[in-house]
Amino acid sequence: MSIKTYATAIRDVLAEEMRRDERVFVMGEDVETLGGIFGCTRDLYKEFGTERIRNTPISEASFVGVGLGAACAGMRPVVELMYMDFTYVAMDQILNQVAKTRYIFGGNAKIPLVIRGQEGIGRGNAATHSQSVETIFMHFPGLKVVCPSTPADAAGLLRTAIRDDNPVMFFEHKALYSQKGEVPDDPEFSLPFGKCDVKRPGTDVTIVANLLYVGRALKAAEELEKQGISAEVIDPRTLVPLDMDTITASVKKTGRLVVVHEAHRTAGWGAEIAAQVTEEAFPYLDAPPVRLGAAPCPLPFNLGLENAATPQVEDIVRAAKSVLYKA
Amino acid sequence: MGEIIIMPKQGLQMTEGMITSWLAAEGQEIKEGEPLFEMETDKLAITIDAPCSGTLLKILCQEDEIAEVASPIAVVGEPGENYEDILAGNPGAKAPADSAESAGSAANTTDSVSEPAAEIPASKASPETSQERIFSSPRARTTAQEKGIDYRALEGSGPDGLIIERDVLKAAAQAAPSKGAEGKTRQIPITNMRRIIARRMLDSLGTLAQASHRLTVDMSEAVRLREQLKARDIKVSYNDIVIRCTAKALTEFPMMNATMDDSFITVRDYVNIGVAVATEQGLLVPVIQDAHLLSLQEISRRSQDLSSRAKENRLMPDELTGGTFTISNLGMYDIESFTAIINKPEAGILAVGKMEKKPAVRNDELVIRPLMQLSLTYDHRIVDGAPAALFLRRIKELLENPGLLL
Amino acid sequence: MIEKERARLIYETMNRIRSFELKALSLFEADKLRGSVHLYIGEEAVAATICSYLTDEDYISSTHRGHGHCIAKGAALDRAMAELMGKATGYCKGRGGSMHIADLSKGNLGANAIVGGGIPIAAGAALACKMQNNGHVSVSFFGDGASNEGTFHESLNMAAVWKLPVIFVCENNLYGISVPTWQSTSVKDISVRAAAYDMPGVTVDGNDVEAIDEAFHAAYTRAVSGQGPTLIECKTYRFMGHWTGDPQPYRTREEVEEWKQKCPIKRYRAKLLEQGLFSPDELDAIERAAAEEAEKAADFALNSPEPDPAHLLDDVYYEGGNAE
Repeated sequence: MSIKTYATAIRDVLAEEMRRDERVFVMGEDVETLGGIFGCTRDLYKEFGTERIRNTPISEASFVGVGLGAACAGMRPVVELMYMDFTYVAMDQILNQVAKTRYIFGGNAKIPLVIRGQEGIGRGNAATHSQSVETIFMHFPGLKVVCPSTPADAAGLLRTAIRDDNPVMFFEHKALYSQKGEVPDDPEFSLPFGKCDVKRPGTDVTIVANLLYVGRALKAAEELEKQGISAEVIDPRTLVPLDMDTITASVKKTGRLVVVHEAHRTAGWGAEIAAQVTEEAFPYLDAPPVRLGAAPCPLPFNLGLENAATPQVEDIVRAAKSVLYKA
Repeated sequence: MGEIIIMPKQGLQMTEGMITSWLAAEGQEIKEGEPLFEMETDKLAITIDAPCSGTLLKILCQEDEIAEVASPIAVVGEPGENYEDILAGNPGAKAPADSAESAGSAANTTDSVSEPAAEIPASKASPETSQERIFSSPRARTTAQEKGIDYRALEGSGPDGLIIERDVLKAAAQAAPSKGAEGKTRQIPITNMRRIIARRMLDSLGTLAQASHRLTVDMSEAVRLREQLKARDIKVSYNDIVIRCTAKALTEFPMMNATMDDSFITVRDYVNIGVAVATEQGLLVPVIQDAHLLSLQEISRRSQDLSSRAKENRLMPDELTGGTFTISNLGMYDIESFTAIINKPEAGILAVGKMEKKPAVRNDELVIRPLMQLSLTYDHRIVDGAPAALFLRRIKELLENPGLLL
Repeated sequence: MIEKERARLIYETMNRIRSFELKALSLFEADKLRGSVHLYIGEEAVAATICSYLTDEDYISSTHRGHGHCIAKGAALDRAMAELMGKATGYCKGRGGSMHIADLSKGNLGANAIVGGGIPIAAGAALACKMQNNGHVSVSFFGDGASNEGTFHESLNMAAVWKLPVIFVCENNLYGISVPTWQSTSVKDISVRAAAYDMPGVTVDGNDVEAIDEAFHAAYTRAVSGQGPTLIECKTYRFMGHWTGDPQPYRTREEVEEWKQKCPIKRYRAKLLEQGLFSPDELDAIERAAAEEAEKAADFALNSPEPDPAHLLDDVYYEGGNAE
């Protein structure tokens, strides 16, 4: 085990996978000498050269498409988007091309393509650079959707993503990059997709959260414990494939569900989980599932406004108590 | 091709039944002829076999829910088939095989025509259709079922009185047997049978003009008769002798063997005597058909058979219907005399007390005699006091002179 | 002059494309074929000539008007026709249809129903060829309309910066559905846009096999020798409407007739006879064989099974193990 930051964990896996498989290469904006604006590829060009740590023009639509073409032609590209908000610029390539190619080719193609980047609040980047956009990619079949919340998860899931023969959307969180944690040194360490991580067991209420909100949910659980409420905190880790079995089993046990994410609450991925739980575990529910997510407004710049627009630890505590009918 | 399983009619008077237990779960394979569910009516509890084979796609009537006769209670089909399509497609609904029904006689059919509608519950007991909707969380209902708590009776502590799990758990904790000296109440879910008994008793008392007569019978001759038979290894009970005598008296007093509706009094030339039997679930009244044609021995055999099967819950549905008069005996509980409630729509019921040796006056002398009190409750709308008295006295006469039975 | 064997291949390919599409049109008219069918008739010289340079290891990306590219890149007519009819035996198991027909085993990255959608994908395949240093090239076919899409400009720029072995082939058929290029496009010759990306740009008569051949030969040589991309604009014309049933109020019958006189197949036949490479009988035989092949393809497609809905969800994801 080594203690690493989330960003270093990602960087190390990129390097290990590029050493292991020469088909793996990284391209994106400012990935070379700058090492990406968050340092996820820092100094890698020194080892792998500028062909494999490839700076791109600011042409998101095209370099995502280039990634797809290269993947079809035998490479295993890792395309970095500086902000996942920029997926919108490349949306035709991601949703019309990347996601659909294998299927409409009659299964006669493998698309080993990772599109990774960071999203979310925390750096005062405001409306177009602070969004949590993972839900969109869960809606359209053909993509896998990964959201690591710890350095170890980032490492284990990124390795699985790079070795997957399907296109993977890999969502990092900008506010987690400096978070430190233990990461196994094994260069084969990987985590399976479609497997929730139960971060903390509990009996009274199930809290499902991803990315930055896993930490906030755990803080809320500590506060709830002081008030005599036992919360189970679950990180789905991958939204596609989604491990509903673990979540449903938890809700059958606790009878109450709170889903919290930074993505907008309306039609956010939490709504999908709430709906599936309601369908699968209705007789076990003691209260309607509660969703917490960003307010229905673009994310504002001002910190006070940003906090007001996103769920806080107190909001999670309040929501958990509300489904327990406690004031 | 899917099949809809319906609430099977068990006996002519059955209008609804409560599922007490499903023996297969949704998604499970079921086989025609193998036990599928247990149900209860006002008259019996019975295990019903699957009418067809396939996958149990959907249970429509859950445990402890009541369904009307012939209404769909489950859907069977191919694995993965959509049960709603089957329901919508409305293929031939399939009732579980009903051995009692198939053996049902034509006589019973005509019988049922004259049965008053009072037997049919006016409103469904199902909570879903009760006037005021009770709001409860799904988990509260699930927990209530597990803990055997009637959630409908609880006060909800959730928003707008929503009954939530906490309320059920509280009730369950209160219902648990108390360890200390502190007195506690316990709430028991009302079974369908209890509900129906309650309704019928109230209905009987509320709609009939019930009056009663009592007298004491000297059972010396009956004792002698029983001893004589016993000496020849023929066992009959005093109650059997009472049944035999009552059956004979009823042939002589047809109004005591009649029923009444708004237009007619219906008299019959046959006597079916119901014998009240206490079972664990509650009161059952199996019927000895054509008791007026049976010998004492035959009555005895029939009565023993019915009562033991009643206690084992093995009666056929039609063995519980069609009575024209009822006899209830609480002598074995040391009851000397009591007033019974008429088993509507019958005209009377005979309550039999304990036979005991007691002082009696014979020829102005105090003697010890086995005495037994009879109490006749009769419907004064059909029978006046005097004929009812004559009827009761005739039973006494027959019991005191069993030779007259010959 | 093109050498005899490649000339035969080009002539065969043009005729196979033409016969295939005429058959597809008749099936469409007989209501045996559904969906959008965009016919390439009149433009066959471009695909046939360019693909005569390519092997199965070279890549192409194509357009919504993609039958010609697909056939020229090696597709069998029967499986292509089956795909147009949505049959299980089609190249995409009936999931793609006319607008998404693809055969990766022949280096065909697919027809692409999004205008401009295939351009970066072809550039990506070229990047792979370059990184793998395998000497192969990638050709992006697209129309005049796509040259106004962002991906065109982004991809040309990126390919030029990275010196990718890709050839951008613009089939300028003068209309984007109903809109004439003069109404939509700032330049008369799209090839001049190459200058913005510091790559060679050339406009040729897209109905003239030898003109295309000459331009492509230079571009191909440039690509395989690591000098980077070229933009070739082939001015051509679709004889049919944008789709089957297009009333074509945007152009005159006279204009269409005028272009039909410039039919690339007729022209190349005359050229081949003039060059004395083939006798009229030989060319007739090629034409007949193409028509027969198209007939057989139609029979194959008509008699092929429908895809089984039980496999509806297959291939959304690759379910096999991960890369070794």
